[in-house]
Amino acid sequence: MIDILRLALPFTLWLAAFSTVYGLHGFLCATPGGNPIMAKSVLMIAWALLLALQVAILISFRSDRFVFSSVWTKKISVTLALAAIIANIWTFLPIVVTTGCRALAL
Amino acid sequence: MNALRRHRALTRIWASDPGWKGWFTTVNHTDIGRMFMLVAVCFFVIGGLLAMLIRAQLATPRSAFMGPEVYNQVFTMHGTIMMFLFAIPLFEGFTVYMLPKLLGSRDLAFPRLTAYGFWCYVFGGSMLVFSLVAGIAPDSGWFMYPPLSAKLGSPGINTDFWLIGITFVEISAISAAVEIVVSVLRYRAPGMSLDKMPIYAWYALVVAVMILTGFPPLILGSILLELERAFDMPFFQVAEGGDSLLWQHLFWLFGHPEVYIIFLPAAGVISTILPVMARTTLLGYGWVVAAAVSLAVLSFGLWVHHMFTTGIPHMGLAFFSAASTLVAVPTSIQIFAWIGTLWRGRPERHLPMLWILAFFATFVIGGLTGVMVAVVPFDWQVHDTQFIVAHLHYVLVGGFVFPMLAALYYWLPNVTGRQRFFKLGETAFWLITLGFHVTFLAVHWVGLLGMRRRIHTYEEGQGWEIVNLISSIGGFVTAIGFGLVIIDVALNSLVSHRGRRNPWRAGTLEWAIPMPTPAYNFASLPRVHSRNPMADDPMLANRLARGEGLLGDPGRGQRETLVVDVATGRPDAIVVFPTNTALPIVMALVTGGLFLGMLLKIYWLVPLSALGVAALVIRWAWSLGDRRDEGRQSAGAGLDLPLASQTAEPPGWWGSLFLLGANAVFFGSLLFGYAFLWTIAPNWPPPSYLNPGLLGPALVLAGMVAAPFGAHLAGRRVDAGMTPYPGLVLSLVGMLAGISAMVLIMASSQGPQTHAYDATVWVIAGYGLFHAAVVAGMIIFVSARAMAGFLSAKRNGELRILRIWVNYTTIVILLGAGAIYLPGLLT
Repeated sequence: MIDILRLALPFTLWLAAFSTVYGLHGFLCATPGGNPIMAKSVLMIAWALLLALQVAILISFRSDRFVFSSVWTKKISVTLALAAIIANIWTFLPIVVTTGCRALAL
Repeated sequence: MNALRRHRALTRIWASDPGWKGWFTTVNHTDIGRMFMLVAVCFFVIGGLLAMLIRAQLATPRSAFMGPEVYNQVFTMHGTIMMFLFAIPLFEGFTVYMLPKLLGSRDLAFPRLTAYGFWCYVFGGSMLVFSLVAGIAPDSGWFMYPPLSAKLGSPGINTDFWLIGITFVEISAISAAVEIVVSVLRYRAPGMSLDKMPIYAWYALVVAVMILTGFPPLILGSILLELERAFDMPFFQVAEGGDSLLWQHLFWLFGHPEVYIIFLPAAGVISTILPVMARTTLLGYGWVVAAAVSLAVLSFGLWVHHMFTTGIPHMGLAFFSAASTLVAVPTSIQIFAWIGTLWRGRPERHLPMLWILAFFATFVIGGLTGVMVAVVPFDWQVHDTQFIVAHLHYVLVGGFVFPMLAALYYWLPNVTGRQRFFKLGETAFWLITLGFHVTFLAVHWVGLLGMRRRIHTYEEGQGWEIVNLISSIGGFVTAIGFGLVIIDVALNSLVSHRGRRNPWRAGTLEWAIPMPTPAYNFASLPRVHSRNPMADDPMLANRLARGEGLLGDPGRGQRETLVVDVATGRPDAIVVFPTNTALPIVMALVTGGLFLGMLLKIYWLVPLSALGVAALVIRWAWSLGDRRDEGRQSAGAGLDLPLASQTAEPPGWWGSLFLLGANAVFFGSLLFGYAFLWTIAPNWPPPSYLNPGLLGPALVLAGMVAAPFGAHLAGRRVDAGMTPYPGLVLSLVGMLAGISAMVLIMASSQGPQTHAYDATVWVIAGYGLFHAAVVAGMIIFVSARAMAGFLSAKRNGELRILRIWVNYTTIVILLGAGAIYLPGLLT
């Protein structure tokens, strides 16, 4: 069962991170008197922390400290951990390239 | 014992009751799977007829074929039936039928639950079809947005049929999902480690987890909307602090994973069939597993792409646009793996292969238009136009229906035992494929020309007339093709001559059993050393029939299979299954009474039915277990194993774990809804927040310390050979304190009609109250079981199950009370 959980962990963490950042963005933008630049800074810090966590997971999977039941499950877990890091970078890139709280006119 | 005598003995043990009675008392996965698929196909035919009505209406401008009221019901029911009563149930039915055979097992984890889920599907689906025939079908679109679907926009009973009927049907989906997860993890052939599982098992596992996490938000949304409609609790009314966008979030949190729940089983089917058609093995098995897992989880991060036009901030739009484009990567990995498999193999052009080629062409087009609509400015142009209708049909028909037609023809010999003789299927293939593309390429075009979706007719002179007419002609050609498929399958199933076993020379275990399948699947269970056991040992089928595998001796007269270690596939225990019973259908009927009471507002029927369900659950659970410790049992081939019911983690523990996982997602969605309304909805704060006082928090804290501690104590005492009663009493007192706290919250708050805050407080407290009451009942049940001699240090599975329920309820009451008290404390 541990192997199944390890397979699921990288992208589950990505999903939790994604939901957290999206929710944080909504909360910061809804807070009265909020500063868009501060909101962006908070989001970037959150992004950095979550990315660091994903990298930590990849490192732990690759280390010999955690024993997998087979070489195959270790390989797949490492692949998923790497893919989740790429997903993290790509999906949170909007933090740096878009405006903070403004809605675009339709 | 020779093969024939073994077959007869096992058939006596495993067969369903003869005649009509067997339909209602069967708990055999083969029978239920067949019934499931047949009912799903019937709903497909109904949905298809509705599609023909839609195309007949839209073929010409200013059509008087249907008025707007009827048209609204027709397109709503077309979508609802196809999504909820055809696609998901067909996956469930196919998996119920095929999964144990693929895994080398004799049944799914919980046979009576399979039957219960099936009957809930039949009764819930019948409720919806009744509404269609009676002219009171839901009419607000298959995604039922308020305020159109609220009481003001839809005052009649139509919407209630959807909300209540779909929730009833979803019991079947949740049941099947729990079963599939537990079956894939534990109910496999010995030696079938994770990397040796058939690829379809990985897809089934992933999809089942998606159902457990994706369906609860919709169940919650349906409950909230029904509470608003029936009792004026204003979750979606802006004036009273609600927000109709909350429905959209909850719906699409379900709705986007839903389409991957529909696509992924079809991808599993392709990954299984395509290598066989290409006379090779799947290229990149590990990559495909990784792609399926990542696609499944990524799909939960896309939901807002259905809401790009709702005024969400720029950054939010960009998050979901990025995630939506990213999802093409794992999809493409699978497609390239399939292309690579074809490349290295020698593809043979049988009918299943033709359907797979049709899938490639169609799904890739649908995927490309999906990437187009992931780009926000493009989506703003095509949102709510026929372009979106065309996109969704390309991915759903191309990505699900075509592969399932491939599956139908691939596994038909396995199901019927007959060789295909009549060749109407090839004609049907060309009619459906060409007809479909004519229909929906035209629909893309007319969408780009500006035609909106869900309009019952249109004026001349907009350039839509000829395109719609061509589309409708294509639609009718497609329908004729599907009709031919039904005739072809019926003829080949009933009239064609017997075929040989394993006509495709495939390597997976479902071809190692006689065709048509006997009730027991395998006369003895195989030991597996690779992903293609039949290729390793061409005589495997004969050896299993002779009893040379495990559990080949039917002498105990019980329905037996094995459970294995999750990762390694090492045999762990012997499972003894229940026999035929009418309990599932009776329970589904009584559950139906509960839903019917809510639908028809006969409210006294609701608690009465709930008590009936509780009584039947007690009857159901009481029949399990043993009154004495059994030693290890022989599994054959010199292997002795304990009974699964007498291990630390019996099957019921695993089932409870995953059911509570789904439950946790439901509760999480509820807290999300609360946070959403609090931060985003206009007209907050409410007139007043609940004042916590001292008694409520004290009851919560005291109760939620006593309850888990008491359950833990009961377990420790039983392990030490003592009685569990002191611990159980303490736990019960804790739960009663929790119940009192929740009642106090409801009594102290403003009425739930006052503001969305008060309505949410009532729902959170009600959720805690319900769970505390259920767990209190469970504690009393386990006490009775202890008095009757069902518990011992070895037979402590029931206590372990109780403990996870107690722990879960403790967490939700603590979190729920905290969420309710927090605003009052802050202000």
